[in-house]
This record gives sequence, C-alpha cells and structure tokens, in this order.
Amino acid sequence: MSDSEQFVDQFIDDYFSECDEHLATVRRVLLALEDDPSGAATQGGMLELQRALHTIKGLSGMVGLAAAEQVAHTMEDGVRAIGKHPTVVRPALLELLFAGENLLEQAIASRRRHGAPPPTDAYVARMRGAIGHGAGFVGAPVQHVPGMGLALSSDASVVSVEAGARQRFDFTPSAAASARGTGVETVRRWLLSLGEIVEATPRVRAEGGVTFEFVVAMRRGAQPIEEWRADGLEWADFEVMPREAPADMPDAARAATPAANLVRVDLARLDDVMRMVGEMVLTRSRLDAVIERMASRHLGEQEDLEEANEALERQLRNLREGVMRIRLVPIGEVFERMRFAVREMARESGAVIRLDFEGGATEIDKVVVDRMLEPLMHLVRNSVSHGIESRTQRLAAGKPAEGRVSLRARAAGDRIMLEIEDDGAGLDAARVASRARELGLMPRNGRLDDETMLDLVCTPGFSTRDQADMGSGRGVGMSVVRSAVRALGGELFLQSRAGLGACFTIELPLTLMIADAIIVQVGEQVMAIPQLSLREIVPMEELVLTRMENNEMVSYRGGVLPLVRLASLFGFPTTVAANRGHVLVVGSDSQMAGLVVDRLQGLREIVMHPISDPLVTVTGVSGATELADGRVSLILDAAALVRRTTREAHGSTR
Amino acid sequence: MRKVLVVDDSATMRRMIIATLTSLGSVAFEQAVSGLEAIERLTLSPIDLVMLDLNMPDMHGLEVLRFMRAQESLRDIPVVILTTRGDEESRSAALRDGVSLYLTKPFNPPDLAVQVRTLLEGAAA
Repeated sequence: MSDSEQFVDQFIDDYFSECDEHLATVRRVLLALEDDPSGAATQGGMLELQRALHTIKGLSGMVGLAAAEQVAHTMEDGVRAIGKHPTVVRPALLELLFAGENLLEQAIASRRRHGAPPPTDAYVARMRGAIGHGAGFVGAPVQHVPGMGLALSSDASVVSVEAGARQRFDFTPSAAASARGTGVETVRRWLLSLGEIVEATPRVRAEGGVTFEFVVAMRRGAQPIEEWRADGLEWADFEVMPREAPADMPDAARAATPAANLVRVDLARLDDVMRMVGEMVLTRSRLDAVIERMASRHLGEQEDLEEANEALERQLRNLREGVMRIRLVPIGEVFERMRFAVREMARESGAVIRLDFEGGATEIDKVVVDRMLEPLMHLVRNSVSHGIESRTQRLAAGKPAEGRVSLRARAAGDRIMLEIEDDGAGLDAARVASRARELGLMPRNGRLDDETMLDLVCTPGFSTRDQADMGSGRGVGMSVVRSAVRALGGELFLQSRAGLGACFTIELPLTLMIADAIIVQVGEQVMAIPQLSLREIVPMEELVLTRMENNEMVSYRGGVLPLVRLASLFGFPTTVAANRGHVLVVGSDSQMAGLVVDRLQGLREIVMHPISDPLVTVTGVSGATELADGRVSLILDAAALVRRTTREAHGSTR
Repeated sequence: MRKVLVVDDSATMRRMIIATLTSLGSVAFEQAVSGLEAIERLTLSPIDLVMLDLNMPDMHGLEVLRFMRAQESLRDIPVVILTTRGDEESRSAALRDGVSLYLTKPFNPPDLAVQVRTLLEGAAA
C-alpha cells in the first residue's frame, strides 16, 4: 500500500460517516425545496445544501473518489443556478438534483464495496444542459459567485425579516467560560434554537478582546434562557415590535438546528464499555459465591455484605441498561429515507403515493437501524411497485386514487415492532400458488395461509415476476429480507388481505451485541468464539503433545500450554484424530489455554444472545447465536475456560 | 512548541490536516469548526499559524482573514487558506487581503507538510 493510500485508508470510515450526515442534509433540503414552490422559506436551507455538497466534494477529492467529487461539484452548480433564477429552471433542476443525490450515494457506496464507481459524464452533461437552458432564458450566463457568497448574503437577511422579530445578542468569550465548555459555537447553537442567525460579526473591544454581535430573526414565542447570561451572553429585553410571522419555522428548518448536547461516540468504544460492564458482572458473581461460602461462619456481617452485593447487582444492571440506551437512535431517520425512495419511485411510475409515519421517535439500536435500512427499503419498494394498484384499477375497485403506505414503529417490552402496511391489492395468492406448483413447493393440503405464503415468497429464487422492474428488482429479495431480520434475532410476519392490502411486521430485539467470531466445528457441533478473546490459531500437527497426569500440554513460545479438548469437555464424539485439528490459543499472558477443535469454518459476525436462565448455564458457554444458515451455535466463553483449566492444572500438580 | 489553529467545518478534514502536520513534530493544535470560533480561539490563546477553510457557516474564511489583518495583535500571524477546488475566484481576493499561502483541496499530505514547515520556520526567524 502506498503512503497516500495509507493516508486515505486511515480516514475512510470518517469519510463514510461524515458523507452520510451531509447526504441526509441534502435529502432533507431537497424535499423541503420541493414542498416550497416559492423558495422563500428555504433560503437558509439552500446555503446548507451548498455547504453539504461542497464538503462532500472536498472530502471525496481527498479520498480520491473522483466520481463523487464531480457529481457534488455539478450539483453545487445546479443549486447556485436555482438560487439565481428561482422560477424558470427550478423544476427541471430540482429533478436533476434528486438524481444527483442518488448518484452520489451510489458513488460512495461503490467505494464502500471496493467496486467500480457509476458513470457520471451523462449526468454532468444533463445538468450543464439544464443550467444553460435556464441561463439562456433570462439572458445571463451563470456565474460563480466569489467565495460562493455564503457569508451572510443579503438574500438570507431579506428572508429572515419576514420570519419574525429581530433580536440582538452580544457574546464576549472568556477563558473562564471556555474552560466550562462555553464558546461561540455553543452560543451559536443556543441562538439557532431561537430562530435564524441573520448576522454574526466580531467586534474588537476597546479594552481588548472581542465581542460577537449576533442578530437573530426570532421564531415566534422563542425566549432566551436567563442562565445564558452567566456564560457571557448579553441581550436587551425584548423591545422590538414582533412582526407578524407567517408561520412557525418549518419542520425541516427546526430539524436542521443541531441539538446542543449531542456527542458522537464511536460504536467500538461503547462496545468496550459494554465489555467492561460484562467483566464486572462476572466479578460480582464471584463475590456471590464467596458470600455463600461465608454464610455458615460469620452470621452478622454476612447479612450486610449480602445487602451491599444486592445493591451492586442492581446498580450493575442499571449501568448495563444505561450503556445499551446510548446505542439507541430514533428510527425516524430511516423513515425519512423511505420518503425519499418512495418519491423517486412514484416519479418513475407516475403513481400517487402517500407515505405515513407513526412512531418515528421510537428508539432502536444503531446497528439494528443500519441493518434494517435495506430490508425496509425493499419492503416499501415492494409495496409501491407490486402492492399498490394502478390508478384505474384503484378507482374501479372503489379505492381512492392515491395509494397509501404506512410505516409504523413501536416498542413492546424489549422488542421493537416495525410495520410496513399498504392499501394495495394484497399478495396475489393465485400467482404465488402457481409459482409454488412450478417449483414443487405447494403444500399438500393446498392451503395458502399468510404464514405459508410468507415462507414461499421468502424462498430463494421464488420471485413471481418474470422481469424484475426498476423499483424492486435491485437490492435484495424477500429471502434476504427475512434472513437479515433473523440474523438480528428477529422475525418477519405477514398479514395479507386480498384486495385490501398487505402488512409486513418485523419484530426485533431492542438491543443486541455484535461481535466478530471464529466459527469452529467440534464433533458435529458448530461453536463460535469471539475473535477478541483469541490470541493465535495453531494447527495441531505443528505442536508436540506431552501428557502430565490427566492433562495434555504442548510447548508453546518457550512455555507450556495446557490443552482443553472441547469435544471431550462437552461430551461430543470427535471426528478427527488426536494429533489433528486446530488449537485456539486464548487467555492472558499469565494464564493461557489452548482449545482444541476439529475444524475451522471461518470468521463471521455474530449476534450474541446471552444465556440468562440459571438452569441452563454451562461453564465455558456464554451464550448462543444463530448462524446465517439457521443453525444455532453456542458461543464459547474463553475466559471461563482458561480459569477452569488453570484451576485443574494447579489441582493436579499439587 | 508551535501552535497551529485548524479551521474547517468538516471534522474529517480537520483530522486529515492535523494528521498531516503532526509529522512536522513539536506542533500543537487547536481546532475551530467555524470562522467565528476561529476568531474566538485567536483572541483567547496565542496562535502561530492558521490553516483556514473558506466556505463555512455564518462567517466566511475571507472575513476571518480580513478581521485578522485589521488587528494589530493578529496581523502578523501566517494564514494558509486551504479551500476546496472550485473557489478559484477567491484566490485574488485572498492574496489582496494578505494570505500567506493559498492552497486547494484535495491536498497532497507531504507537500502540505513541507509548505507549512517553511512558513513556520520563516515566522520563527
């Protein structure tokens, strides 16, 4: 790898996650622009849009993704052209901007997959054509505004006057406030919660230092908080006559206001914390055992200790839940993406679709959200392209011309339910039946209830469409949807009513732990061992076996390594000879053990389901996971196995 | 230890710049996500060099540069504008306002490090 590749590689995850943020901004502003034909209320949004594209362009250039750089650049030109001649070129350009966003996503995704980027020349040419057309119409060439005119353009302030009363705020930074974490950026976020910042100017104070003067177009009813004064923000009491504000700030604009108290946390760091919590849970259970042994001897003190131990258990459980909650994000952001996809599909097919959301504030594990995006997208696309009938069919069936797709999310205990419902024709039972017969999958009794129908359409290769259409053909099939749901420990359900619509329900666990694991085979049994607990894998043939009483040892890196044959430990018949198989070296520098397995099956990402029932607890097993093929595999607890081995070794040599 | 203020609204870009300049050794960094924050940092602590993006919310990089050049205490701090390709029109304005170096992104990390080092050494002399 060259130096520059290495440099890029170091930042590629940052690049993906920052681009995701900017793309979300692009989509939000584009949808807002479309909803607002006058464009007056979205001036601030236009600046945001330009900046998001500009940043994507810059970052894409740094990581050498020319396709994304070029598309972002072209889109910037398009946005500028809209700003120049709002009415003339707007619809065509807006359409091109939507297409551009799509292309940008594809380009960035291609990098994620290490694939070839999509071609962009045609897109660039189309945009150039559209911009040229608009410019010709008003008789002026589109010009690049120096510095893009982003700094407090006069346009922005004109709009803001319309938005409401103006209020001036002065902020004087100080080392003390800065040490408390309050700076001009904090103040900016405070003020954004009140309205739109129209002006922000630094002024040098006569006595030295600087004061920032902000002018804010206040949203109706917005009030500054008195405590802000303590950190150096000053304002006169409201004396400006409030102008008649046309409406509250649009939702989009409010959503744009960054929450003041958010921090970004790397998921890996949270996993670290979670692991530490897990270790504490283990330590506490050791404490449990000690207390039990003490029971007979120290009556009085033991009670106090027990009480403290119980409190500790409670606190640990709270801590664990607290950490898990940090991983939760609202499902609403995924819903927003559906809005975008449905809009695209409706435009392609000419259908009129209404998309309803419910429960967007429902919180769900970040990893689950990311993995549910594709399956949800597929189900929504299915609804739009297969479920909802054509306009004429709908009218003939006495339905409203406008098709409806509803996305609902709700929490039920420690499960999350996601529903995708449409008021279309429902699944075509006759068609499913004929395809099932073709494939020899038709159930004997010939009955097609919802469950059977779901099983059938989730069979790989089952599509009832001869030709996949643009909408649902790309991405994943139903079989992949179901395995994605199951891989997360969830389940997929279907309710279909002929002529009335279909409803898919995805039931998922609220939180889960995901880890990379080596999948191994012991006898006929498949087991998983988290990669993090693994030091090395050595083939048995390379090691020299010695026996000490009942324990097998091998020499390893200048010392001896006690072996644990997992087959005999768990009582499975082994399928390989004693000098074959692989040794997984686990443990710490001072305490190591070698776990002997028959075969290695590879590295997988697994979802860990801890075994919490005390009746099924087995030493050396920390939980279970479902593999992609549906087999259940036990997850090995390396730490417990090492502890057990060391104990035994000591026992036998004494 | 010299102190470099890195001003850019993209966190990834700031990280890239800092990683690049860390190779110079004995450089400490301050960061600002906006023009306003840049001015705040400049007035609160001594800075030896500013890496400045142009396109930022509420206060454009050129305004930061102008503000600095109008202040007795900030006038002599070297400023490197590092802006995304496509803003070339700003170059002449930046040169007029006394920018020390005008560079564009994407940048080549080793080249950038060399150019900034020269500037830091010049300022020290």
